[in-house]
Amino acid sequence: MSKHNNSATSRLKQDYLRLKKDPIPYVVAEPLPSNILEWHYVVSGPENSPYEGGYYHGKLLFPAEFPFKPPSIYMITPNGRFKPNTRLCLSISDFHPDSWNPAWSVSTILTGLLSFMLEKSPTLGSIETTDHEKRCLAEQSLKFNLGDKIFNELFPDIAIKIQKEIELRKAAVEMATKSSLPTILSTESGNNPLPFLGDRRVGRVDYPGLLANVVVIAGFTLFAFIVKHVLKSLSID
Amino acid sequence: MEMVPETEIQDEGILKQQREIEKEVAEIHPLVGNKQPLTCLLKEYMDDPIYTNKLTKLAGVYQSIRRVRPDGNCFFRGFGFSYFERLLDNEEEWKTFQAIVMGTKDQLISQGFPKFTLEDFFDSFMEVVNRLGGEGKMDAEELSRIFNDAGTSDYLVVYLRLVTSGQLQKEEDFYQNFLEGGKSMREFCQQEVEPMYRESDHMHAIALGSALKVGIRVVYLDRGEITTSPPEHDFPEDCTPSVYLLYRPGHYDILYK
Repeated sequence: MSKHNNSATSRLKQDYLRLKKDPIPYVVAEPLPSNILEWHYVVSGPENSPYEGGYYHGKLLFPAEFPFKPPSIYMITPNGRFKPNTRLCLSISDFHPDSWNPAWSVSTILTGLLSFMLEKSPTLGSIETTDHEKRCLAEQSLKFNLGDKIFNELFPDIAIKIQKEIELRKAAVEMATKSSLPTILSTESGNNPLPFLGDRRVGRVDYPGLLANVVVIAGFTLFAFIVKHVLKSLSID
Repeated sequence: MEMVPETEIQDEGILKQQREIEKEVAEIHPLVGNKQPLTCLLKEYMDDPIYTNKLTKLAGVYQSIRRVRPDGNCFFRGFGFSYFERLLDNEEEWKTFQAIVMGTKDQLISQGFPKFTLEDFFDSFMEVVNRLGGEGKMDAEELSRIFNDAGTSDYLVVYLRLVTSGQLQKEEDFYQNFLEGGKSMREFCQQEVEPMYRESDHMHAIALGSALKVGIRVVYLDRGEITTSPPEHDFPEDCTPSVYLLYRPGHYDILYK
């Protein structure tokens, strides 16, 4: 019966393979390479929820008696739903060993966590915030996660995605700043100052010029939105 | 609004205390103990004439007892050990039982139990069942070792719990009548059957006995005044018992004739 001498380890390995084979929506999870009893997960905020665009990093700590006893569940990224770094009281967590079912897997736990996150019902470790506050936290979550060493180590793909997202946002902001001097890009003279357009035929110069104007306008609109957003959040705080 | 932190501290305290109690229980009681003469219980009840009287009568029918750790799983663990031990000496019955257990897997999956985890528990259960007879048959000592290895022992308990839950839900129309407090059968199973360490009563016993086609006789020993022998109940009714359990309020141990 050597198979179950360390039932938690063997079961968690199986759960891991299972999770790779049948991923669950919006959540990925990885055990620490040094300790299979500690898993980290990332929830990608689902569309049409106040968490959209946010990434939420947390961890599951499994007892040596898993799957007979439930894990404890923590959320690390500030999210507006659960207190960060506090053991959460869910029916799937170790606050309720009485309702824990050994037939539940890591997938069940993560699915349960996500659905509880999307609900509003209070529990120990939960906090109440407005949707607006949640959206602000969703935005801040990108930078927050990149500052976490384990996050970067275990989820390099997401870290790269977040990095790109941040650059995109930065670019949009820069673009918006430039748009405060819109006349520079005027192409009415026909003498385009940009060297890479130099060898284009004169008749087509207007086209990229138009495009530039559209981009500028779009950038400006985006900038206006961000300013509005920031002002709103400041007024709430 | 944040929850009051005191509640959290209290809960932490209760959890810690609970873990300490569990640890203590685990240190004193093996998961499944050695066979002892039934009269050893007399020492526990020396100052209690009712128990002494009942035990003396009981000792006329049953010779020995095997204690099971009182951790809420004692019914399932006691049942499992007692029946497996019986199968070691009953090759024909073992073959029948093997076939019955084989059938439970697909039955449970068809009822919507999560396949992946169910198979895990089924495989572990079957692995032990397969070795209760035939070529690689284990001996009583190894059976005892298996039941005292927490990992394996608990896997066996979980599978018995799942089988019980499956049976209760399959025959919901019948078992519904026993339910109290307006719970649905699904809720009852999720709260009282499937989780570890939840205690069992006659409903669990009837369902498990019916699902695995094993008769269970439970002898009730409590402080109730009676002049005859302690009452016995068979689960399911009118079965031929293969497993004998002694019930004292909140706990089951294994009995031997």
